[in-house]
Amino acid sequence: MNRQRILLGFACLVVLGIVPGLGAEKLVFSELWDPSTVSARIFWDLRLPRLVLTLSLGGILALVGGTYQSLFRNPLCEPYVLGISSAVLLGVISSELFLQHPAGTPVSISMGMLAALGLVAVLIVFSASPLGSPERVVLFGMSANFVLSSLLFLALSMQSQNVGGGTLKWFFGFLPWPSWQEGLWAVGGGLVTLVILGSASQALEVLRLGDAVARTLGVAPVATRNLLLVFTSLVMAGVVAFSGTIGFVGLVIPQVCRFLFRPNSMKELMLLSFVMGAAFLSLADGLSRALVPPYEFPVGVLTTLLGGPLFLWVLWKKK
Amino acid sequence: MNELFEAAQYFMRLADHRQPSPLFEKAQRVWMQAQKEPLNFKYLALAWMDPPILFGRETFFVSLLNSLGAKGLFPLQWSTEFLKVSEEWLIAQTPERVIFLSHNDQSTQRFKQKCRQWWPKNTPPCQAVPADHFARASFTPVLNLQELSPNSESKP
Amino acid sequence: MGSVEEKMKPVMLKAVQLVVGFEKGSPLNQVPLNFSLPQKGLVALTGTNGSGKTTLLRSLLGEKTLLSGNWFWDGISIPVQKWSAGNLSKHIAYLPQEPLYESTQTVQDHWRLASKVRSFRFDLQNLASELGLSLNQRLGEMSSGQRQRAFLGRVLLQPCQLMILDEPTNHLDTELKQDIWRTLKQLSQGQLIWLATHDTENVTSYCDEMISLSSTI
Repeated sequence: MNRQRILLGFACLVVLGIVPGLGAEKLVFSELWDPSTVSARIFWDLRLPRLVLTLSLGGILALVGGTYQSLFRNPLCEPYVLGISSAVLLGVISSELFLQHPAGTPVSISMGMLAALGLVAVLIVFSASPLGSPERVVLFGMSANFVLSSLLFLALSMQSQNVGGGTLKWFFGFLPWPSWQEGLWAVGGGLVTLVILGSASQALEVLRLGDAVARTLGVAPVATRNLLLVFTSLVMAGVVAFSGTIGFVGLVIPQVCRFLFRPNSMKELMLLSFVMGAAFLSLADGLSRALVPPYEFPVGVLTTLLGGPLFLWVLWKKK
Repeated sequence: MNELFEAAQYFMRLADHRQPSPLFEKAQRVWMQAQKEPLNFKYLALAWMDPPILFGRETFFVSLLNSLGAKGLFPLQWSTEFLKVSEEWLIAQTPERVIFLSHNDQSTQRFKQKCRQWWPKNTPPCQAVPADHFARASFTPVLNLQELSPNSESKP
Repeated sequence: MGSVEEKMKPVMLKAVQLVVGFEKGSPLNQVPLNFSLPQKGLVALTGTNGSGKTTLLRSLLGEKTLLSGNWFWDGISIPVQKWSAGNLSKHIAYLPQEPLYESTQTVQDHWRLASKVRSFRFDLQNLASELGLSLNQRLGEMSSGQRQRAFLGRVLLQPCQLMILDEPTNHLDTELKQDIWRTLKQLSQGQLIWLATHDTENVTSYCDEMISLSSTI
């Protein structure tokens, strides 16, 4: 076991070393220290904040995915399974269509978050009702997802060509070139998510034993599930409002971690998932920019290309 | 383009137009002028800002500019109509002019802002051209491009 | 119908006019149940399948299976079915009939979950040896009998006043069944153990009291 963790640490260092070098332009190492050169500007103003962003987002996605897989007792859960992403996208695109505030502006992001909160409220009411077992909450979320997606496609088909020509990128998942400020916000968000979900990890483990047993072990099932739902939904709403739906990270990384490292506790799984998710997304992002320069693939394409086979491999080996 | 003018003249004669249209005459004059004094600069032509999308070699816009003597900057191997490029690539270029097809005042402002951001040292003249004018095949574009000749200065 | 052998023991838990069933469902017992449970001892809950044993047990654990009536814990005015999880965990430990588990968990990980309640200095290794288990074995790689022993271990590790067990000797061979009954009997000298079981033979040998449910006609 230890050997594999050391390998992971090593792989992460390699990723950190390689990714800042990946991109459309080749950098000249000697120029990096002169702030006026193109190489320096690309490295310090573009690539590093982006690296910081992708590390945080990747960690968050993997964490939330792992949490949902545990919470809903379903290994196929993605962070988007509850339909929060569709709600956010609907809010963002509605703001563009009806309020003339294009996607990416603070107004559109607020609309996205409002829509997400609306859905969260509905989910909580459902979860607290007698019908609301964890498995049913997922099904409810999936149905909400279908409904919202169709509304979304309707809204998109209503768009004139000039409005939000880049709207499709939200579906593939995209990463912007963030400012250092945005990058640091992302780090903050990542750390907060790690701390909060990490501290909930034992409660999650206890919940796996069933609601009645959980109560005898001091964990209130409905309240805990609802709190986790609200928190993760808020986090995911923020992520989606910022970068669309980046797929596969939340689905595959916790599975791979479980398979490779056989962690003894949920807390360990969460830490490993965070680290591996961070490395995975940064690598996918770096490759998306370096494969066919100067074209940059939407990062979701790379996460699917890399994550899909990885997932199949885990499924194969698990037999 | 010469053929285009000839074809237009031919059709106008067919339609029995005694007077050629003023627009047509002006465009023809500008065109002739440009043949004598070609627009001799390196340019980047942007169709979209976010993400940055270049007009490719196969587009009417670029053909127009190139036939007026200007030299487009393109990533080497691409020859499609519209190229999505990385901001890294943009920063690494050294265009002498940057042209953007703008849809409204707001996007023009953003364009000028972005140009300053991408090339803070020696910001090249950045010109926003109304997208409306390029919505149909017409001679109107030639009038706009007159402003790009070496005799007129456009400040960023 | 309920029949209870009354003994002169201090009462810990009292059932008053209980009617159990599933929410919005029909009741599982026609006559409301009234009985008490002592502070210490081994009490069995018997009845045919469908008579509502599990439903009755679960009504003590915050599950919404009480159609009417109340549970009263001696000295606490809030009925037990309305207790918070924090309160429940201080008094009750529970082993369900077919416990859910994580197949990649080792015995040690599973037992560690019991420590959420309070710190315990039990010697895990000791308990493992007594139950014939290895701490590093994964639950998914065990026979159902071994797993049942691991589940029992988790409950045994939880200090409590009331231990509720639903078919605890499921999947165990006769010899092991006896072992478990003996252990439970011993433990019941310090706490109340209430278990639902089909094992009527051992009930008569080991239990102090028996509560029998019969299904509605």
